[in-house]
Amino acid sequence: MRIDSRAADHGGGIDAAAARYGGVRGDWLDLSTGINRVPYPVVRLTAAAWRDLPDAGAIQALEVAARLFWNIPDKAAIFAAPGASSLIARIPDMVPAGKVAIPGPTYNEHARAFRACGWQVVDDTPAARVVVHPNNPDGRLWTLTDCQSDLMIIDESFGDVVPDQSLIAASVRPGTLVLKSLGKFWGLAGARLGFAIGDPELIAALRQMLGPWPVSGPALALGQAALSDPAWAVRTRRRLARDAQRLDRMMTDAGVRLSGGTDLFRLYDTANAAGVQDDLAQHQIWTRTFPYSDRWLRLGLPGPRAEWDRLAVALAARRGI
Amino acid sequence: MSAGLLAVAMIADAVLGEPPVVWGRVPHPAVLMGRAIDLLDQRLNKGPTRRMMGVAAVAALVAGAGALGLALHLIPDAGLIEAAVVAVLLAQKSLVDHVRAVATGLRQSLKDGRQAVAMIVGRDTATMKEPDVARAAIESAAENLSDGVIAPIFWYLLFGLPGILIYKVVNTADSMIGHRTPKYEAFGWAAARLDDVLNLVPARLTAILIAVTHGHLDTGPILRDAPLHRSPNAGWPEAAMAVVLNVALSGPRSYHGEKKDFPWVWKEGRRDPGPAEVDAACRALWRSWAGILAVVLLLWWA
Repeated sequence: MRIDSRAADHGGGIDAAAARYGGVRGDWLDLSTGINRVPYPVVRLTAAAWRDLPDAGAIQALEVAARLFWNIPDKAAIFAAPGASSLIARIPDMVPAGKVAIPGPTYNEHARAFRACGWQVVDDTPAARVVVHPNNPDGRLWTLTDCQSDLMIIDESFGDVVPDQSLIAASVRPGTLVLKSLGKFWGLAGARLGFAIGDPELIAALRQMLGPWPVSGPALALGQAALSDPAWAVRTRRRLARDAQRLDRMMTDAGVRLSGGTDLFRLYDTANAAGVQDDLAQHQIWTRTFPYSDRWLRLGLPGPRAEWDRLAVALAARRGI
Repeated sequence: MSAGLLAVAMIADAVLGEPPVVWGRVPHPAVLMGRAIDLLDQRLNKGPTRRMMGVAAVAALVAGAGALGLALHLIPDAGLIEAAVVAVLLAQKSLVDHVRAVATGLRQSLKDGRQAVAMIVGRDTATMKEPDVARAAIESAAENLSDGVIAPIFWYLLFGLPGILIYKVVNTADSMIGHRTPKYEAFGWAAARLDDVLNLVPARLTAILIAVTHGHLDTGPILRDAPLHRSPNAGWPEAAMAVVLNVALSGPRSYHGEKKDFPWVWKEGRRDPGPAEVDAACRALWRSWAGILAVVLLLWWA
């Protein structure tokens, strides 16, 4: 049974799950996304962050921090936006519609956005291409040679767990944009903060489309603090890598096969993904299945210890212990 | 010996397994046995009469284990020590845990599966494919159900604490010095032969137990295939396991880089087992365990 089309197409959707399986939002452990559940600690915000329109200085400070953190080439332009998804929705509108290749299965908002702007999504074309790197949900990595289309979008929303794999070097190529997000690795999805990095002309067009002050003052402050804290990033990468292995052990012990993923989410293969999702949902744990596969089940990593314990209890009940 | 005490020990083993907390502090009996065998190996495995030396070594181990068993049995402690020793010498829980780890490992990656199976088999795991790993785990499950659970129970029921201790020390000696290598061919002869004798009945009982607890009352296929196995005893539980799981076992493999063309046991079974079949082997281990527990409880009650 499909809960509703919106919930079936994305992670999240706790309200729909709660309506179906019971409980209220707060009872649920949401493992249906790839959002780090131990987020970057929210910094103290000044009254000015809320009161004032973000000035050029605050925006520039954030962009400088981002350039340093991601080793962005000087020739590439950068633009902070209210979440990577706001960029994804507008990118297809920057150039005349044509054909675009989006190798999948992958995050479906790219295809949706291109189609909504009159594009035709095809298997292969040199005109335009979108790669999600690492890919969601299977964790596939791409290389610079995969990224040579005239319009080239490289979505690195999950890329901060594998910084050495970043394709940021492609951001100097004409027609290329690399997308970054503060939502996943830093666990700040609620702040809505993402970046487009690359071709100055495309960046200027995006800036034009989103108007002045696209990012809120609190998000600017938060983003600047997060991107200026490489030590937190190193610690978090180490923890996520350890926790991904721990989740793999628990899940494979419960009878599903590891199929791919990143250190932010793991993809498992099982004969009956909907059945496992249902079993875990009985314990108010929400996971992600996919409309195009009845074998794939994706889980984000639990964060605090109590969440791991909940998952262990639910899996033990499934095994009938 | 007492069947009631044995039942208690079986359940304690099944629940507790081998808690690492304990064995970090005191040496496991298997480790002590290993040290004794090592010592005898160093002292006696030399000279022109190695085979006789091997016989003497096994005789010493048997006498020592028997005497220790008798002494422990005679301590007036209401059987507490005896139950504890028997629970420690049974290896059901740890066997299932090790076999399960192979299924879990295989679901993560072939590399993890190989690593897990290397803990329980002595074969080259580096070139194993998934079906090889699964097969090795299932074979090990069957063989160790006989060696690690059913045979110790059998000898305890017949001869009490001396019986189970003698069995375990001979079985350990076989695994340490019973190889057909230049160093051990002669010295290990006695241990290997005595181990074959001691397992003669238990291995066949294990096969019957596996078959009966899975409703396989037609023993034809097991009788047909057990003798195909390279080992006179291990073939029995393996053939029974192969038939009830419908997986072809044994078959071609490599030992220390050398290809061996062993015949298949239950060649009609599937040749591509995976983690699901390894899980099925674990369930079969528990089913067989429940079967033997029922027998022990019947003996107690009778």
